[in-house]
Amino acid sequence: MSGAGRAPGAILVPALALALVALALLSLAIGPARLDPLAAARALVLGEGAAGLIVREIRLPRTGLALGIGFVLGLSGAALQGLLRNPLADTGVLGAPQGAALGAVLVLYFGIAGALSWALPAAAIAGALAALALLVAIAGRRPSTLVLVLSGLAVGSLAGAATSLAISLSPNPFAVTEIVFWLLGSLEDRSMVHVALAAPFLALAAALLLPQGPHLRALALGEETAASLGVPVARVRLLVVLAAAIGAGASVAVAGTIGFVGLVAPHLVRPLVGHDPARALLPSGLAGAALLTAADIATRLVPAAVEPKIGVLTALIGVPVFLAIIARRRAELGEGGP
Amino acid sequence: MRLEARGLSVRLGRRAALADLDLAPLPGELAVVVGPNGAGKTTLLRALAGLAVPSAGAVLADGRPLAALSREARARAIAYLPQGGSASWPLPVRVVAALGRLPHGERVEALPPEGRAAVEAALAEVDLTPHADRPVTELSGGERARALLARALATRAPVLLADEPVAALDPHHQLGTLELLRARTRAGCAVVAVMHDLALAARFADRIVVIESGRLVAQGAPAAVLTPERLASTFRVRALVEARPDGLLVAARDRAP
Repeated sequence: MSGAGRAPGAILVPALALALVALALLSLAIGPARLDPLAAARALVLGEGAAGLIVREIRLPRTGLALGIGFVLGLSGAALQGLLRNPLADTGVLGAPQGAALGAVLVLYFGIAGALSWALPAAAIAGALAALALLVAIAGRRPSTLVLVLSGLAVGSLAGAATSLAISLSPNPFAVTEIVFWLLGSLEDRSMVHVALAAPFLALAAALLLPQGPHLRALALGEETAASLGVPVARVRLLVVLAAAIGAGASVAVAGTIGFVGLVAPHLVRPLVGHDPARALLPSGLAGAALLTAADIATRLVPAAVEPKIGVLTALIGVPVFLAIIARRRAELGEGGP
Repeated sequence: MRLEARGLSVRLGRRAALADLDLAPLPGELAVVVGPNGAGKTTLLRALAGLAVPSAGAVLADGRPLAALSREARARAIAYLPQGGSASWPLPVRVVAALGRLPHGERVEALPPEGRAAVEAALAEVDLTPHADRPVTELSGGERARALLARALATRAPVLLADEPVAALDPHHQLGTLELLRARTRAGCAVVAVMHDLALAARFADRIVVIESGRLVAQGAPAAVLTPERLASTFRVRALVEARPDGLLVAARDRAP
């Protein structure tokens, strides 16, 4: 339709897909035993020798997780921003990862299950869902930026405090160290078991979120108008919140808390798709996958004895973006919201 | 399609917003709903649009309960323009108007020729064709109101419900919008508009519907309803009312005691 707005949008998805392939190859090639990307690709396909073992067993799971988790986090951020009509909405800002972490820690703490059981993602998803449901109940249907950020902070802090309490009551100091490091978020030393644990939930979240585009676009004109246009507003709200919780829970269960990807990715692509909440969905997912894969590569390039945690890295990138958005919306904050 | 409210009551929380209200907007007629603030005008429009659930009575579409219609069928039949609407994202004006094609199952990014024609016609009707590619959030309040009206027009529904469609507009575009609503009625559309401007209501309405404290207290031709006595009792204003060959002239002059 609008020729001017469409041109960058049309090549955006193929361009992002190409970038993802390049980043994935790089991610397979980089590590203590450095390969060139072509050799990494050959090792992946043929699986021969030491290179095959390294690429398939060590680097493929972490690359796959970075792509899948990044995609769902970016997609969830775009969908939540469309649903709440607020550019600061994101599972991380809304306290979902903290809720998921609490669920997962409780399962580990009470010894209900080990770290490689289905109970872990299930508990993490339940925790994320509880956090998001609490937030939507507090913040209402069209929260101002101020209400959104404050309630997200409160919900996240509550879950964080409960997690700390559980950890400090733990009788096993080794478990404590493990949990604390896992909470910081990392894709290091993940296996195909982790991939199998997270993949079904990530796929489900994406399958629920991607078809919501036209509904989210109509919601740009408000819930009343969207409802009058035939959008099942209550069902869309439920589905988006549920899918975001499933995505956040599955991510936390295998990779710990990784924040800000869902906040940053939609902001990168939105100007390129004419600020259309429907057309922003898929590119936001792809941008999220690219961001997280790039961040994971960066953790391996930092010359340190211990890899920096990827959650720390995404926060270092994400927080300035978060602050920049707040600075731009200061007028709204000063007035107490729209 | 014939829309009809029969014995309609709506409760908002514990308050009765509408009580036992009968109203049948006719195709080819511009009905203007007037009444003091808080009288229940918006609730009436929301109930007619199927967005507020009746606590008693019903809204009927061709004699059947509106709630029995599918969401899509209802959205194709009734276009609803809420009061003081806005857009949350800087979508181009043309995309906003194209959202009116959603009930027809048409995708905004790939409108069929029929949908495109409806969108372009709606943009021309509200005088926004030159601004069609601008982000709607950059428009002035009045221009934005017209962009949202274009969205409602683009649906081409047989019933159009508009809540204060001219409140944000300059006099030229107020007249333009009301002429446009009247043109819709000539095409067989039933239009119900909520308005506060009694002068414009008197000039353009085929039927005036007066709501007071959730009840319909009078309806009929402007000259029959907008009498000095009615204006004093319902609106608490002393008004100049003059029957002229080209319509009724109403001008509120002083507050009534």
